[in-house]
Amino acid sequence: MIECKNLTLSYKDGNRENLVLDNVDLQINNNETIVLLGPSGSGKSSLIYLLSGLKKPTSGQIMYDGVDIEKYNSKQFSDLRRKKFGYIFQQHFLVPYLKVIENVLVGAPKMSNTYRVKAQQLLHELGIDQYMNKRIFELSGGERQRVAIARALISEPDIIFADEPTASLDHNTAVEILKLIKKYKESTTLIIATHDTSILDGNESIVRIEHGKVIRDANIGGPNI
Amino acid sequence: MKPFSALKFFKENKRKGLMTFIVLILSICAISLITVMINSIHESFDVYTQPLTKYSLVAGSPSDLYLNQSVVDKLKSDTDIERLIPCDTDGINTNFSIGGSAVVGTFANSSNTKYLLGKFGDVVKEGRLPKNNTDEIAVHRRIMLNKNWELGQIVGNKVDSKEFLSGSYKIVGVLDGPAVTFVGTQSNREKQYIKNGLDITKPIEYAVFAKPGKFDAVNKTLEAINVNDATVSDFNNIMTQSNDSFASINTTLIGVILAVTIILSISISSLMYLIYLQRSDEFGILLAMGYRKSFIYRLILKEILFLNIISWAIGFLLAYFLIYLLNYFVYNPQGSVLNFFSLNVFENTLCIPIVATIFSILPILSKMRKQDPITIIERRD
Repeated sequence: MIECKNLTLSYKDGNRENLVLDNVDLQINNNETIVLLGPSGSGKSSLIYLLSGLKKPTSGQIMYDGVDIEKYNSKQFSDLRRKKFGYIFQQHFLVPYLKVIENVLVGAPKMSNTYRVKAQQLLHELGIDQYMNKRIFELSGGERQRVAIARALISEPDIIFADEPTASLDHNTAVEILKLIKKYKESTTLIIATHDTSILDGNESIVRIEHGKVIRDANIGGPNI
Repeated sequence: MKPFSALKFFKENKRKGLMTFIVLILSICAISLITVMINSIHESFDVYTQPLTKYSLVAGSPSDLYLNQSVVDKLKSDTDIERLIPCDTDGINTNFSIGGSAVVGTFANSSNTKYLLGKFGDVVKEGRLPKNNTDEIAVHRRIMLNKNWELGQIVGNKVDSKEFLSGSYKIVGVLDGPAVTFVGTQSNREKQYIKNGLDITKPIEYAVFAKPGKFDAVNKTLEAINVNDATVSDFNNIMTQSNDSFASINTTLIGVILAVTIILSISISSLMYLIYLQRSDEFGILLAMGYRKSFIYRLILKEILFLNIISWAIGFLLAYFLIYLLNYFVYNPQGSVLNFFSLNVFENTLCIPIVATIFSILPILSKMRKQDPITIIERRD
């Protein structure tokens, strides 16, 4: 379970204080799928960065399984992010000179034959095992994002953070990619930030964010919110 | 299968590392060749001075051709001296290695010549030793090769004005052994001296052989002789004269190596910086995924170090191959050899990959320290 209390993020722009997130309280249970919904600049990506430990809050607390993540030392924190968290970004950020399977293994917490088998299995499940030994430039946008999903899943993370994972894809591919991500919701918590409601299927918990505040936290009935 | 290894990036991006690779190989090859060439000057000098590790020469002073009788008496009474051979010395100009040099030869009577060659460790390989009262010489194999001389050939400045060796002599023997020298008989040269009005009953020059273990003691005695009484040529003497010129050669070599290393390191570090700047996304995303900075630092260090080490090894092998060719086509036919394997070739070339690695790694690591994964993730290309 991941939880945040009174989470605030602000930065100084000259003499002005810009508030990005304002006293956000959120509790996300295990194996829950949460969609952070809001327009560009609303603070949803910042919330993902804070929850995933990529950024430090100005104030407030983030608890992972009841432990304040501030209490982790540098190594423990790296291990937490590498082993327990998976990341999918808007851009795939794959390593161009590595083969598809090697890119998936980049997400593995250690190198072993078990993870190699796991990587092959994931690529098969995602329908791109035929590209296993190909380079990234030989793949389409959708295929690249599937590789990024496999990379996020290989460590069997407790939480997957997906920040606008479909923003650079066409609608059909976006729907397909989101389906693939959700395929793993039984075994992992999914936190997805998006501004596109058309790709949602109504089975997600929605957290609506506007101007850095959580304004609605409810299960919505369909994509036409 | 590890996705990241020291060789992976440059193996998969050959064109990116190619320029660095070629520049390093050529520089290491060039430094190796320069060092080997300079070493060969030292080695040639060692070969030429090798006879002086066995004997010392005492001749008249610059103002008097004849040796002072008191000096002769002193030498004759010195119990550390095994043998005092009346002789005359001359030189043959050779072209071993870079620049020219002269090889010293000794003219003594035939029985003393045998003793002298025995001390040098040289033997007659072909032909025979010169006979008394003849214009004959026996020449070391390496001089024969260098001068392109043949057994039976007449040599000397009477037949070749560019030759140091005064007079004309028939080569009757070829010597082989550690001392590159030549020998002739003194008796015939005395005829020349008589012709020139010299009194050959007076001593002109002596080859001084010390008893076993007394070489340094005898040299000390000889060096103590007043310069107005005699001219002493011993090993220390020759080394002192040559140290200044070797010091300037060594300083030049160090200067060249330093200049090459610094210019090269700056160029390579600029190239590397550009390569790693293009990989900011890769490192940023690894950081975002929980990889530690120390892992990325180690990866960068290993990649640059391996590239440098491989370039060094290839540059070194290329230099070895070129030295082999130079030996085969140029130096061996001259009776000389370039010796590739010496400690200073390693030392002089190793500083290039080490300094280039340090110069490359520091700006990249400094850039990496400021790396913020969020900036990379949020960039909308």
